[in-house]
Parts: sequence; structure tokens; C-alpha cells
Amino acid sequence: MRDFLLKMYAYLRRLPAEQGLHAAVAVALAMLGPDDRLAARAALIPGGVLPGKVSSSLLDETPDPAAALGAAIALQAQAEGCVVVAPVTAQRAQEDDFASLLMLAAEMRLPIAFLMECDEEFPDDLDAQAALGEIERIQADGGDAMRLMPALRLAIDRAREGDGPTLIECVCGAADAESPAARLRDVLITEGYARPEELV
Amino acid sequence: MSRMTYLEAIEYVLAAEMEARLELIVLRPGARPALEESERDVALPRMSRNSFSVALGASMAGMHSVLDLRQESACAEMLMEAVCALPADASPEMTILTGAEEADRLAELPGVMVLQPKTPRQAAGFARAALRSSRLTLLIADQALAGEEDEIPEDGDFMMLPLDGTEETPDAEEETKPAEETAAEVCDEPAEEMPADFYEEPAEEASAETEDDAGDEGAPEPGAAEENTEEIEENADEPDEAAADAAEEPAEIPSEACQEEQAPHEAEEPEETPCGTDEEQAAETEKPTTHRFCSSRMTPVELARLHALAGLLGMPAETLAGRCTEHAMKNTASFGFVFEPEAEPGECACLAPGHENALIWLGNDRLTVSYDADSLSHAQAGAMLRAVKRVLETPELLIYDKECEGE
Repeated sequence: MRDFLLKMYAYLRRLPAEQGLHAAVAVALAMLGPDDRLAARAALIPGGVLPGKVSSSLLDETPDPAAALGAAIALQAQAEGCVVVAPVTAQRAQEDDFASLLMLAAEMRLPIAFLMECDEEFPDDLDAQAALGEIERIQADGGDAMRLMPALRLAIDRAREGDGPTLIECVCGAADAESPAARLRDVLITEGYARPEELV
Repeated sequence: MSRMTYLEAIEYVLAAEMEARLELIVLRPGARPALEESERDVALPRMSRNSFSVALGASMAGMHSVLDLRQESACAEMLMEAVCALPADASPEMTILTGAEEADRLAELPGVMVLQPKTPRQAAGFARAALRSSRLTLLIADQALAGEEDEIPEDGDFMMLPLDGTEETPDAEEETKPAEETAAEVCDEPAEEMPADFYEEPAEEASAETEDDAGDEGAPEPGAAEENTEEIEENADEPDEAAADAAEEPAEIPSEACQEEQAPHEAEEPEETPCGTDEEQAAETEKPTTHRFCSSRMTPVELARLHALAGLLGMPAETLAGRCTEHAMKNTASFGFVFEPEAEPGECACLAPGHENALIWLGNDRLTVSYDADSLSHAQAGAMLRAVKRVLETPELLIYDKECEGE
């Protein structure tokens, strides 16, 4: 557990804090195995990649969820148990075709977990609800790595076991909230997982 | 041989390749899968622009994706937008299958190899070539030819590519080659851009060159090679020309090719992959030759500076380039200089008769030293190349050179 938390902290330090999904992506990178993939703009990042190898501009361009879907289709055909995690910005999630992509993922029971950025005022209009009715949805605090962990664990396990996709709604708080890295640092020190001098 | 229609030929090849290669996946927006029991033949809803992204994602996951858009009547706009949005260094391994309704527009897709078969035989050959290509390929299936029938070889490696867009390759029994060789030889570059005699090499020399090719990387754009890395390339053709000059052996390449030193030379296979072997590998390559060359890329900026300075000095660019070379090679006798700015990128110099030791050749995109290996060592030729290039990169130095001031 300690190693996992330290790895997660390293990813959090690597990715820019101003991007809403950076905590969720950091947790995902820490959880994914070497055969799993994180969808980036023009590439699929394998799980288990060292924090130092992760580009700080990883989230500068958000990946296309359709491409992530394609990757999930390919991985489903190639091997069992491989998962794709796809970050989706709030803007992209509000486009017309996103709901249809979710429905397709649910229909094909694809091994994919979507990390959807949303704020607390994300409108739950009826059409979107109807479209998303087929897919498992979990809400989590997008700024708290410790709260994202169980959500991602559940989503990844579901995908591995062939239970289909999951939509994790990462609620991103106010801009002046404490950074996820700082929050995790406090937890690590308080719970005795690490000493302050280890967490530079 | 089996008799098949045009469309049957395409589906036959697709099914055969799917069975043989686990990395193929077919995505069919708006259509039912042809191989329903296969997980790799996937029916998708009509998705417009997302269908390309889905196929791209599958390609990124390591598969060769086949996007069947024959049910989409209007996809040229979508494909144009999608292809242009690809990152500059993206090279998805993907085959797109479309109808011929928008063939004219589809032919304009940038960076895409477009194949439009005209006969069932071509359909089978082109389909396999597209499926085995490592680049983004578009196969246009003309529905108007659906009823045409022809004998299709059942050979699992039967493959064709157009030479000039219409020509059909010889009979299957003659043209069938191992897939790897055919793919490497044909699929990775548009054949129609190559001169007709490009592949006219003796078999032993073609195989001898594979050592150079093995170390090659993807071909960078000429402007991107700003590191000015020296590239050492072996020219297996030139020894025959040099031998013809010396009249010691019968030259397999006509001697006129050597005498036409001002004409475009035969393009070498490493032309498209100019990141050649390093010096050690080239030096270790044993070839029964007396003539070799080494070259280094000149960036367009460097060449433009040379031209600009020549303009300022009021002399032709070749005169200035020659002066730079003379300046660099003050103490080296028996060399010549050739300036060919119109030469095709990657064309290599030929040691012309009368130049005993070396010929320095400045072409469109590179500086090349052709040298007699009996007179100069590889290290000496490399040093010559570096010295000339150093002066060419800063021709302004000549302005302060006493030898130039007086002229």
C-alpha cells in the first residue's frame, strides 16, 4: 500500500495541478497494469509507466473518447482482462455524440472506464440521463486521490471481469481548493506512510 | 485459381488475411459483420466522424484496423478532416475501404496511399497490398465493377500495386513473392513516383544493400534533419560504374549512366530512408568495390544562405560553392566539384571519369563525396566531407579569406 501511495504521489507531482482530471489520471496510472492503457491525445500510455516517463503535457490535449473506444475494442479482441481508461473533459462530454459513444461501449460491454470531468453544476438533463442509463456511473471527488481510488478500483475491476464500461464523474472543486498532491501528502505523513523529507 | 467477382475478390482476401493475421480487425459502421463468429469483425452504428477515430484507436492499440465505409455514401469530407487532424508524426496502420462515389476527392487525401482497382484481379492484389501495408491506405471499391469476374489466384501471397495507376502486373505465377519482400519493396512508398529503372539492380547487389537498409530509420523530412548527422551510405551500383570506367569488368549498369554526371542519377534505395548506417557499420561492410561515397544532409536553410551570399557577392552559387570546397580542400589534390541544385533529393554522386580521387557533389539536399576507395580511406573521405560542409555552412568566412578578397 505504501509503495502504491508513493507512486500515486509521484504521478500527482508530475502532472500539472491546474488540469481538472490530473488527480484521476494519476490514480489511474498508478492502478493500471502493464497491459492496460490510458488514452492520451495521440497515443495509448501503458500502465505501470514510470512517473519520470510521463510527460507533464499529457493532459494538454484531451484524447478523443471515440479513439479510446477503438482501443478498447481492439484490446477486447486481443486479450482478456485488459482495460482502457479514457479521460474526458467537461466540454467534450457535452457534445452530442458522447452519449452515443457511451451507449455503444455499454452495448459492446467494452473494458473501458471513462474519467469525466464535471463541476458541481453539471446539468443532468433528461436526455443525457436516458442515454447514460445503460452505463454504470460513479461520482467521486476529482480533487481527492484517496476518494478516487475506490471509484477507479471498482471501474477497473468491472472492466477486467467483462462487466462493461464505467463512467466516473470526477467532480472538480473550486480553484482555490487544496491541490490533490498536497492533500495526499498530508495523508501520507499523517498516516505514517512516509516522512516529510521523503516527499520532496 | 478461382473465379470471383470484383467484390468477392476483396472479401475473399479480407477473410484470408483475417484468418492468417490476428492483428487485423475490421470495423463496419452501418453494416453487418461478414465474419459473424469473429471478434475481430465488428459491426458499428453509423458514427460519421467517430468511425475514423474508433479505427485510429484500434490502430493505436497495435492492430491493423480496416475501416469499411462502403455503406457511407459521403465520407470524403469526414476523411479529409480526420486525416488532416492527425498529428504530423502519426502513421496509423489502417486500411480504409470506401466506394467510388467520391473517388476524385478521396484521391486528394494527403499522406494516404490510394488504390483503386479496375479488375477483380487487381482488387484482390490491391486489397492484400493494402492490408499488409504499414501505412494509412485507402482502397476504393468501385460498385460499378461489382459484376465483373476474373480468375483470382488462391495464393496467400498474391499481391499487386499499380506502377502507373493502370498497369497490371504480370501473371501471378511470375509475380508472387514472399510477402515481406513485396511489402518492403512496394508497399511502403508510392511506386508511381519511382523511375522505371529504380529496381533494376543485380540481385547480389540488392541483397548486399540490405545491411544498409537494416539500420535505416523512417525517412525524416529534409527540413527536419538539422542535426547535420553524417550519413554514410554504400553505393553498390557505383562499383559497377567505376569498374566500367576502368574497363576491368563488365558493368551491369550501362556506362552511359556514369558519363551522364550532370543528369539525375539513379535513386538509391536508401534515398527514402536517409538515416543510413554509421561509419563503423559501413566500414565493416565488405564489398568488392573501389568506389564509395559518403554524404551529409544540407538543410534548406543552409542552402538558401549559400544562394543568398552568392547573390550578395555577385557570383553564381556554384562558383561560391566551388570556392568553399577549394578553400576547405586547399591541400588535397585531384578532386572535382559538381553543383546540382536541381537534383532530386537523395540522389548520389558518381565518380566521373577524370577525377582520380574524389568528387564533391552538392545537390538539392545533401553534400556527397564520391571517392576512389583505392586512393582515399573512408576516414579521409569523411574528413573531407566535414571540412567542406563546415565552410559551406559559414560561407561568410570566405569574405575574409585573403584568397577571395583579391577577386
